Amino acid sequence: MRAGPLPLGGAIRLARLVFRESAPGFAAVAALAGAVALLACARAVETVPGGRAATGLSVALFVAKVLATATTALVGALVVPRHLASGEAVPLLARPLGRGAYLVGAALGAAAVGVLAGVIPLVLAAGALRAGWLGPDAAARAAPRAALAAAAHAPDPEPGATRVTLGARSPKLEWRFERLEAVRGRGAARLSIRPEYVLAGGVPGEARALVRLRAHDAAGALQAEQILESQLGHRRGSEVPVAGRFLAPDVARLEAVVALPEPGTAASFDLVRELGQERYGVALEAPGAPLEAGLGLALLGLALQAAVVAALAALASTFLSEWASALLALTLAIAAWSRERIGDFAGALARAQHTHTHGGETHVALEAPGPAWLTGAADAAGRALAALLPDLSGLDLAASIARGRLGALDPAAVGRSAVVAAAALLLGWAIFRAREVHGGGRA
Amino acid sequence: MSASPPDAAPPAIRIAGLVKEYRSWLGRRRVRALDGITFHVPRGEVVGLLGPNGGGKTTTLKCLLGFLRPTAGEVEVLGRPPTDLAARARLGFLPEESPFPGFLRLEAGLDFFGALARVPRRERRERIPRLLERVGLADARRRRLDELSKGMARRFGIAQALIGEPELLILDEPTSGLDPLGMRDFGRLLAELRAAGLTVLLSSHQLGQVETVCDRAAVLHRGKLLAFDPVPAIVAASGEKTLEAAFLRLVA
Repeated sequence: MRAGPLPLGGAIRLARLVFRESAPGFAAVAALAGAVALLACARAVETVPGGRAATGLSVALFVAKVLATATTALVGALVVPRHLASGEAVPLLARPLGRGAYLVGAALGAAAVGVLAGVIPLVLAAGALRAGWLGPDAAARAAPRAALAAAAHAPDPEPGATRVTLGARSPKLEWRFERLEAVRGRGAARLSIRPEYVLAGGVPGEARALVRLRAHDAAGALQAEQILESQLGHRRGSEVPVAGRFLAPDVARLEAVVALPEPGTAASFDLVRELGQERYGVALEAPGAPLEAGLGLALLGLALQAAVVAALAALASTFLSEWASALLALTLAIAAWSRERIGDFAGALARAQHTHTHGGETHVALEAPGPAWLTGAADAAGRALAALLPDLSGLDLAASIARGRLGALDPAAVGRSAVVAAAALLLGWAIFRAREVHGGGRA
Repeated sequence: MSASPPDAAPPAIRIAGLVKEYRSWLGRRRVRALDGITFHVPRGEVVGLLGPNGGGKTTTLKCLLGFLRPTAGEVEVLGRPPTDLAARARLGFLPEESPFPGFLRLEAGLDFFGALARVPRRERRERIPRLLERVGLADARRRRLDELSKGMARRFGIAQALIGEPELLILDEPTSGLDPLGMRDFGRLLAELRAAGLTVLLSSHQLGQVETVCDRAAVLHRGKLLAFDPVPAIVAASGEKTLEAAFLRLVA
C-alpha cells in the first residue's frame, strides 16, 4: 500500500462531501455564476458610494452575515448526528480518515455551505448596484461654460446654495466631514453630496446642481477653483471628484458651494440616519475602495466567521442530538457576535446591585434584580462566557465597505477566534473519539 | 476448536477474550453482547462468521473496526489496534446496510472512497472501470447511488470495499438483497479473492455459500463462540451432512 495524502486530504474530501450533500448543485452553480457576475459588476462599479447604495449594501451585508452564520451553525450541527443516525458515518470512519479529520471535514463543509449562503445576498446587492437600483450616486462632470461663468461670478453666498467649508474646524457640527488632513496627500478625494430630499416644483424630483470648489492658502489667497455640474435626485446624490491640487499641503481651507440654479428646486442636506447608517449631507471622503476588493474582503470575513461558528457547531454535535446542537451552536454564534455586550451587561447588572446614587449619596440598590450572590454569579458567568467566546465582530470586514473603505483584520480578534475554534475542535475530537459508533444496527 | 497455527507474521485478525457489554445510561441495565470471544484469522483464509440474529456478529465486526470499545479483551487487525489508521488503510469493509452518499454517481462514489482509502488518483482511474466490470455495474457507472436497487447497491458496496486493494476484507451480509445471479457472481468474486491470497471475514446467513467458499467458520450464539474450525470439521463434529444442519444443531 503506497503512502497516501495526509489526513488533511481526507478532511477536505469529507468537506466536499458535506458541501455537496447540503448545498444543492443548482445553488452551487448559481453562486458560481453570481460570483462571475460579481466580478463583472465590480468593474462597472469601481467604488462603493454612500447614500442609498451604502444603505442597500449595508442591508445586503447584514443579511449575508446572518444567513452565513445561521446556515453554518445548522449544517455544522446536523452533519455528524445525521451521518451517525443514517449509518453513513460507518463506511467513512472505516477508512483511514480518523475521527479528528472527519470532524474537521464536517466543520469545513458546513463553513463552505455557510459562505455560499452569504454569497447570494452579496451577488444580489452587486447586481442591484450594477442595475442602478441602489445607486451609485451620479458623478459630477465639468459644468458648461455658461453655467461656469454664471456660478463663478455669482454673489457669495449664492441664493439657495448650500455652503460648506472644509478645514480644521467645521462650521456646522451636525455635518460630519473627514478632516482635510485625513485626505491630504492621497492624490484625490471625492465630495459626496447626498440630499435628504430634492424637490422640483414642490414635489420630490430631480434638480440640476452646480458645485463650486475653491481652495485657499493660509493667507486666504485662492489656490484652485473648479465648477462642476451634476444631477441630484430625491435621496440620490452626486459624487464630485476632488483633484489633487485641492489637497496640496499649502491648502488651508477648502470650500464647496452647492447651488441649485433652476427656479423652483430645493434640497436639504441635513444629516439623516437610515437603518442605522448615517448619511451625510455633504462630506469630503477618501477615494472609494474598489467594490471587487471590498466584497472579496467581506467574503473573507464571512469565511473566517463561518469557520469559527462551524467549529463550535461541530463541538456541540459530538455530545448533543442534532437539533439541540443546532440550537446551542446558534446561541453561541449570537453570543459571540455580542461578546462585548455580554460582559458589559453582566458588569452593569453587578453595578446596579452594588451602588445607587440618589441625592448625592450612594446607597445599595434595592431594585436590584436578585440577591447579591445571584448578580455576582451572573456577573462572573457573563465575564467568563465573554472570555471564552470567539470575537466574531472583530472578523467582520464588511462594516466599512458601505462607506467606501476596505476593512482590516484585527490580529487580536483573529488570534482569539483561531484559538477558540482550535480548542473547540480539539475538545470535539476528544469527545467524538470516545464515542461508540452504532450505525448499521446491533447484533 | 483449534487455534491458528503460529506464523511469523501476525494473523490478519486476533481476538482474545473479547467482552462487550452495552450499558444503559448510568449503567443500570447491561446487555452482554460478546462474552469472552477468542479466535485468530490466519492470513490468506476466508472465514465465515455465523450466528443467529443477535448472536454478536455485527458487534464483533464493529469491535474489529474500532467503532466499539471492548469492555474487556484484546483486538488486533493486521497486527495493530483497530483504531490504527495504517491498519485501516489496508482493510476494506462492506457494512450491513448500504448507507452511501446518494447524490454521488457510481464512478464518483468509487473515486471518493478510493481517495479516502489513500489510493493515488492515477490508480483510481485505472481501477474504477475494472471494479465496476468485476461487480457487474459497468453499464450503470453514470447512475446516482440513490437510484440503485438494493442488489446493485450491495454490488457497489463490494466495489468500494475493494477499491483500496485491501489485505483484509470484512464483509457484513454481502449477499443481502442480491438475486441468485448476483449471489453466483459474488461467489465467483470471493473465489477469485481467495485465489489472490486475500484474507476475508464474511458475516453471513447464507450457510450454503459459506460452506462453499470459506476455509473456516466461527459460530457465535448469544455472545459466545460455539465453534471456530475448518468448515468440514464443524460439519463432521456435528454428525450432520451440511453446514446448515450443523449450525442448527449447534445453536439449538
